[in-house]
Amino acid sequence: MVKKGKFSEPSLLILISLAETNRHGYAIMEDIQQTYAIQLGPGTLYGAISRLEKAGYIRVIESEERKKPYTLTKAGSEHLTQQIEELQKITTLGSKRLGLL
Amino acid sequence: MKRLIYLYPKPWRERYGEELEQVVEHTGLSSKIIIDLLLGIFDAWHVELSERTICGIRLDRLFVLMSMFNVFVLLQLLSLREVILLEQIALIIAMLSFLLAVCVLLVNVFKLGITKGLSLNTKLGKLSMAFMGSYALFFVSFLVLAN
Repeated sequence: MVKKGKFSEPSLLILISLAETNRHGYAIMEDIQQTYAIQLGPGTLYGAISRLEKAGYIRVIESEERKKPYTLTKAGSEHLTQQIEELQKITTLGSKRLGLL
Repeated sequence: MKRLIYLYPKPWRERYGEELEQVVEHTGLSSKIIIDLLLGIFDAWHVELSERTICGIRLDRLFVLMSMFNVFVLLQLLSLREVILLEQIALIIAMLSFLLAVCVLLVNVFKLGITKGLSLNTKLGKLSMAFMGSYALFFVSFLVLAN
């Protein structure tokens, strides 16, 4: 069973990539590489994609082309928002404790 | 590359196999990618087995229990310093045969359902029986050598 509350880093990066625009697997990989300089392996990428699809956070768009793009669902968007808010709380607290704020 | 992708569980392969192949065509098949794919295969099987149960027991847990049982037997054997090498080899082969027999049988049951999966008319059913035969043979050899 997919644990909806838990996010691994690749899943979060994939959701953020799809929040911008619909992308197919390799395009997601390239976006993550260009944006964060993180090279996701194909096994890691599709492991995360399968989990996200099972959780209902992303879905594939039917296409005539060989490469099928993925899109963020409403549930995925809500979940990403929630995750980012949690990350913001953590960074704000960390910054305060470090005296940066 | 296709051989590696073939190691993924069938439902997973049918859904993502082609896409994964396309991505690997772009990235190439370096040692890093091979390791990543092997970890992905392990992960996909873990997810696949954790979603299936037998008599209410999750399959991944069942495999862990079986592996622990095998490790326990092997550790017991290794601690017996007086046991000669030949006996150890016989027991190791017997345990591996048993593990493979159960794994092949479970795969067959998942592929074809309980009734067909347990019959000997299928290739995997016959293979499982062959491993069980090997288990029986080597376990008897172990007992004879040990006594």
